[in-house]
Amino acid sequence: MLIFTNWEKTFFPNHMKGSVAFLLSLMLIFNVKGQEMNKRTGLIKGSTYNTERSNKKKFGSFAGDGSGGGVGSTRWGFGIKGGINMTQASPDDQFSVFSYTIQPENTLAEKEYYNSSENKGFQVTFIAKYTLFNNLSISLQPTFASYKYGYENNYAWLDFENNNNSLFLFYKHEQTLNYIEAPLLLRYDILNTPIRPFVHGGGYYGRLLSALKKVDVSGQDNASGATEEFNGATSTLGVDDQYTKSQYGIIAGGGISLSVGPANFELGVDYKIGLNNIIDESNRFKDNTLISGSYDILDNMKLKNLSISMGVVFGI
Amino acid sequence: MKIILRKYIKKTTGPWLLLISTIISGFVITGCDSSDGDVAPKENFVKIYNNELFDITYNPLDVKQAADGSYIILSTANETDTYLLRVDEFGEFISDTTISTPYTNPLSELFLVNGDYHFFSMDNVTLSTYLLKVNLSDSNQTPELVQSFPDIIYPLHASQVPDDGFLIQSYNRDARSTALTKLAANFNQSWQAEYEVLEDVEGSIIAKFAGTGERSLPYFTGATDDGSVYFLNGFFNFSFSLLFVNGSNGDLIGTLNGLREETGISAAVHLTGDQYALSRFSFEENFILPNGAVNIQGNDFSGEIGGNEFPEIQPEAKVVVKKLDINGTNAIVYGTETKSKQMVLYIYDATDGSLINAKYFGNTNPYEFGNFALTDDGGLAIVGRTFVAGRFPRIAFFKMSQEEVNSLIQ
Repeated sequence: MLIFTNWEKTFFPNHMKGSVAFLLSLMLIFNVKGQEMNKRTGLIKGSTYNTERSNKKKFGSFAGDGSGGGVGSTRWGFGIKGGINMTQASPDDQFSVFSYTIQPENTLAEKEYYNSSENKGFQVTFIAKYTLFNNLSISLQPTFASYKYGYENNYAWLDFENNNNSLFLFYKHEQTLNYIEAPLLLRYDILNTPIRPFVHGGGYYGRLLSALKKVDVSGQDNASGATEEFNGATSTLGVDDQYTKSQYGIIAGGGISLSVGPANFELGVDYKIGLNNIIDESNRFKDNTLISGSYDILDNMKLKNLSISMGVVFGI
Repeated sequence: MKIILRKYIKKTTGPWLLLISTIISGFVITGCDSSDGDVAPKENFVKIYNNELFDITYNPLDVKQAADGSYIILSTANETDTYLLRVDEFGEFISDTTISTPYTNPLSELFLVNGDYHFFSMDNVTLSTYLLKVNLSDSNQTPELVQSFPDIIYPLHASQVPDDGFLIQSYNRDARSTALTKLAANFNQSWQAEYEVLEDVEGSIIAKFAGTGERSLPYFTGATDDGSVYFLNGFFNFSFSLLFVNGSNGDLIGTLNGLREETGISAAVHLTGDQYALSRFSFEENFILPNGAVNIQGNDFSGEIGGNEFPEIQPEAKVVVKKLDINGTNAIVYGTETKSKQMVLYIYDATDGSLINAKYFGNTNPYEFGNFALTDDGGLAIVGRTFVAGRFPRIAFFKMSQEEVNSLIQ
């Protein structure tokens, strides 16, 4: 059973305790298994600290030290991590199918983008890591990332001579973009302790796998003599052609790494800033269904994304 | 220490440098398509001109590009009022004006005369005809009256002919005859001819102006390339027929007769010699003849000239046919609307009459065809009306880029 100390309580807010507990549990399991394995092989006896000391001899003074073993004591590390992400779409130029001949008073014609906390996606990452110096390593992290972003707008038509005549339509648009990405990161482990905070930064390149758009229409129709509220059809469309095939940007992030046996458990946060417009302008007006059905065309935009991941890296 | 460090870096970073170089190269090579695209918004866009008014209707008749790159759309509002909409080169609204009495029921298209766009309209009380100029310098777009034509009653269609003059088809309610008036380039009347109608068709004429729901028949006028023969589509004898007349005095040469109001010609443009590009209707069927021989001196039945049936075309659909030079190809372009409520362009090769392509506009909500015109950048402007949310008639404007237009003939 895990009991949070004051130190841990300071660093981990309440809603993260479950995750931290899970991570620490895994560490304990791997720690025990790691010691048993060492005993079986007979190569290195005792604690993971001995393992590290042995590696220090093997690689000289440039290999990691004080890390309690794991990847810090070897040059190569491979692993996997996954988690959730939150995306903020940053429109540079906004476009609309509608152009208003009379300034609307009851219509939200311009898209109102959702906050990043409402745009949750996920990512799964394979990690290949190589230690260059003591605490400095380089890492290639092929990632499958699923980003979501959404916005809404609404339209109104009113009969100013007969208040009983009116129609309101509410549109919610949710886009899901699936990318395969290749982030290349330079990482620095700040401390040489079993629990090591780290920071990293670099760039990434993403290749679009698919793009889906879900449109949800609801409304209120007062034109039939009574108020009729309706939740219209939700339609999902493939909109691959509306997006450029590539996106690239920069990443900065950090986290903590816990070395247990041959494994490093990591909890990290990354912030990505897209540097290119992800909308294919040449195809903006080519989708008849989007334009004529939901009166929607996409704005020029770049994506910003905050991701939280947990994973494990094994030193080899 | 330095020696050890150098050896270490040399030994360990080699593979990584190779890997990083490969990745960066990959980024550069495959990242080429991540650009913003090279199509400027003014070359290609779709716009719907909306407002929050519940009970207003628009029906666009024509679109033309002004010298400054903006577009002028001539339309009706609420069936009879004249509505002028001006939008910028990106399709964004600039200004509009609705003209009610007395300049109602604008005719067919905008004409460029001495650098200004003009159009004809009808006086809703006297039923006479006016010529108005679009005043682009006026922020309110209020048109200027250029000339009145008190003797031209119930104006139905106007077109410009090769000598820069104009043809106006009208209906003389007193004489019960279809009239054709030839105006010179300075708008003075050159001649007027009348063609007898042997039954009372004023109800059909009024239906066109009032938009009462009855069929709006395809009245039109036109000329051969050399201007020696004019043609008009209107009532003659007992039927809605295509009449060929002498270009110098309006004398009747021959007819392509319809069957009452049920069968007739819906659009025509002269190609060369006796060749015409036509479309015709027969009850609820529509046919296209992109390159058909017509005996203009005959007295034939339009239902016997053949053509390819297009079951997808909406019964009683408006059809517009024009000759266009698209990237060096002489093309015949038909614009109309389908039963599935899309606008469509059919593109034919003028030399052999073969169908090259078809392009559809609109989806989900209904679209009705208005008109189309080539733009200064080699693109195409297409206007029609759509029923926003399935019920509010609004003007829709599709701008195709030159690249898209050229791709229609490839």
